[in-house]
Amino acid sequence: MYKGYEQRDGGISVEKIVLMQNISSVEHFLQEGEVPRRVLEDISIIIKRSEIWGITGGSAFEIKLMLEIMANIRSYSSGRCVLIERGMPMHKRIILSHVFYIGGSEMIYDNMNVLEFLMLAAGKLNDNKLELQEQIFEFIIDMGLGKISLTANSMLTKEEKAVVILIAASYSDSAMIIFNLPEYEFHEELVNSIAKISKFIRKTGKTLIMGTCSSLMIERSCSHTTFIAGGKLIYNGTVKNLRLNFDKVAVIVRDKNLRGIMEKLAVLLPGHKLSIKDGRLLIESLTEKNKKTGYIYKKILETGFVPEYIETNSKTVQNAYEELVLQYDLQK
Amino acid sequence: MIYRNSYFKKELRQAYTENRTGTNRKMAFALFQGLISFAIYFVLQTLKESVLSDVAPEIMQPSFFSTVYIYIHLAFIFNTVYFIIYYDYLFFSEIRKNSWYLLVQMGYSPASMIFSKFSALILSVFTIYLVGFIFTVFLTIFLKYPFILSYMPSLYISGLVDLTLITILLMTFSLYVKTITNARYLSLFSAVLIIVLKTALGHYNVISNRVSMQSINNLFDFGRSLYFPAAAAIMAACCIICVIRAGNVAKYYNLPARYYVLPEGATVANEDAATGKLKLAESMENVRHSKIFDTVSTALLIFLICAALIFNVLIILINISAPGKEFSIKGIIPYVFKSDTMAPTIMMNDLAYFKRTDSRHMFENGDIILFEENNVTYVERIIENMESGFKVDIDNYPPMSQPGAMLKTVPGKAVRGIYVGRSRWLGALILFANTIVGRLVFLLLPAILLFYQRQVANIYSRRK
Repeated sequence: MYKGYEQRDGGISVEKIVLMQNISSVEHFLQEGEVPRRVLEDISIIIKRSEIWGITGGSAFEIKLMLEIMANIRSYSSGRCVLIERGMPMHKRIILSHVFYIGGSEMIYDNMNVLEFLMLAAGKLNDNKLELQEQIFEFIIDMGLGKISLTANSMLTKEEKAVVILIAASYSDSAMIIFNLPEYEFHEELVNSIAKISKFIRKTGKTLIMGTCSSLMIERSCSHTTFIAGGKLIYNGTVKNLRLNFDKVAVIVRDKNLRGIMEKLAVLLPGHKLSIKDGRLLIESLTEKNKKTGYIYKKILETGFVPEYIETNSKTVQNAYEELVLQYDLQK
Repeated sequence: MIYRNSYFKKELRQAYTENRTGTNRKMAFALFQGLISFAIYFVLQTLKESVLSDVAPEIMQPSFFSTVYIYIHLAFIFNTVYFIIYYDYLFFSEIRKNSWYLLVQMGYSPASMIFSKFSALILSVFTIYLVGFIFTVFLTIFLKYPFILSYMPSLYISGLVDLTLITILLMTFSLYVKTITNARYLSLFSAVLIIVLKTALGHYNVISNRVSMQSINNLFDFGRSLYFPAAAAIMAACCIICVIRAGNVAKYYNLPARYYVLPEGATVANEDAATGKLKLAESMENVRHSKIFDTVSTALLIFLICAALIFNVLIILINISAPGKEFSIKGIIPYVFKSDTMAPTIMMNDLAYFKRTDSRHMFENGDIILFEENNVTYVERIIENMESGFKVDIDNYPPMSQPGAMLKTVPGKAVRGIYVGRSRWLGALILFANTIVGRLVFLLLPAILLFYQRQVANIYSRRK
């Protein structure tokens, strides 16, 4: 599959693709009745080769700005930023061959269809057009975008256009692709396509850094994630760790009599936090020792109730981030 | 189907989604321009007996020169409109939208893209112009006018220079103008600028002269007009600017003019590196400017609609004027003069103004009066003031007519008004307004704009 593209990584063999140390932005937020604050403050992050990062947070502007700084599009006030172990050019916005930045969907040509546009974009990569078209078409279908492959670009939504540009970027020689569209709302089908494209990007040895406000996107596509709150990074690590460490809900119970079950369980499950949210009883283990779900199931049965529905929580990024923000707000 | 489009081929297609459609539309556009030129020539022929024949004989003559002369000017106007509509596809604004950023990342060279874009646009413009030119000549053949080849190359080159100049000017401007609305205003401004330049440098005197245009050398005779060297200098300067600027802009990722996705109620200030002070980063100036432009253009449109409608009402009132019931504004009777009996004081189809008079008015010999006889309105000059009335006669007897045939004695009570002036252009305009095309322009279009202005505005804003 996609012959000839597995090994293409722009000839870059470095490991550290992005190194940001104590970066503070030039931009400040001004809000009536509040003290001006830097949009980004003391940002430190290391992004390595073949990693897929989801940069998220409460403000799309903060996310966007962080990735613009990372892509050498905006300057920063203080700190250090190094791209692929080479440093950062003084000239801002200058095109860097190792950074493919996607900050909007206008760069696509509206008077072409998707396949035709990708053929034009990838035209310099292979002189054999027949072979190239076959590869691209196969790729589009595999990404689950077959139905739009012959649609005129002018008919696509801005989110669909962005995905088409991401496909083009995945064929480029750039070592890092920055997909900076936190203001876009991708529906599930497109999220799945992006997840498949990100797998392909990872396989070719490139790094994808996405700015997004969608937890689903991070969950499906990313290996790593970071969360910006109040201009600072409050989490920085793998998606797996985030889900395991911050989504503490072990078991979810649904029943008409949730209050009754909760009262009984409060006695039977010391060291657990019980709460009702959106018509569900959420059971969290507060200690390592009590984390086993089998133990909680046993205790539920001991209450004498037979709940209509019990499930083991699958640990979502959304829940983890909610918990993370809650903790951050409490600390503040 | 295998897509083998190069960047040049994509550019040749212009705004259309298929190469074939692009070519067909361009050809259709060329034929349309030729056809419209021909139609305008016919409309102008209905105004032959008006001021236009004296002022612009070059467009009124029964000759190939007139149809082609109209075509070269119309091609300029139509191409400007075409450029304004498809501005996004035709000029360098795609660099600002970062379309080139993507292609550069995919291995395309900015230099070759600049060259491809430029040559594709020029090639398209030249082809459309040539086809339209040939079609106009072809249509004129049916009028059986004598075909004079010698002024064809001069006319062709003259139109081509105008088109090349506006194309290159807009290409250059597109590298500097950030918003599409401003770019469109600037396109209009460029077209006006070229017309002003041609007038100021005496180019119109050269090209409107059928005799001088029979030699192509007269176009390049700098003693007659400096327009060609001026155009050549502007084009050369623009080409250099284009290559340097486009190459420069293509090296950078272009940020949108304004910040986006800002939290509600927040603005952004940038820290000055030297002083550490905060300066507001975004300005509402662009928005304010575009609001001023919108207000001005809306006001202008309303003014034009109202003027057209008022003009129509005026024409209707003048047309329904009958002897004894002449329509007047503040005592002035407007009267469309339909003969050349008073030439050269009042020419055929002039709008003459007569001051309403009563029996106490003292007339003098030489006054031109409007009077009524047997329910017919006449305009003649007083040659003798008599007790019983006035002896009047016309100034100009048509050839083959009996001099003195119109000599009359008019009783004082039959006089309706005395001649105070004329407007040759308003007369021509009324003549035009009475043609079918004139009715469409002055009545139907304003009516559509007046009643469907919201729908028209919606279409415009959607396109924007």
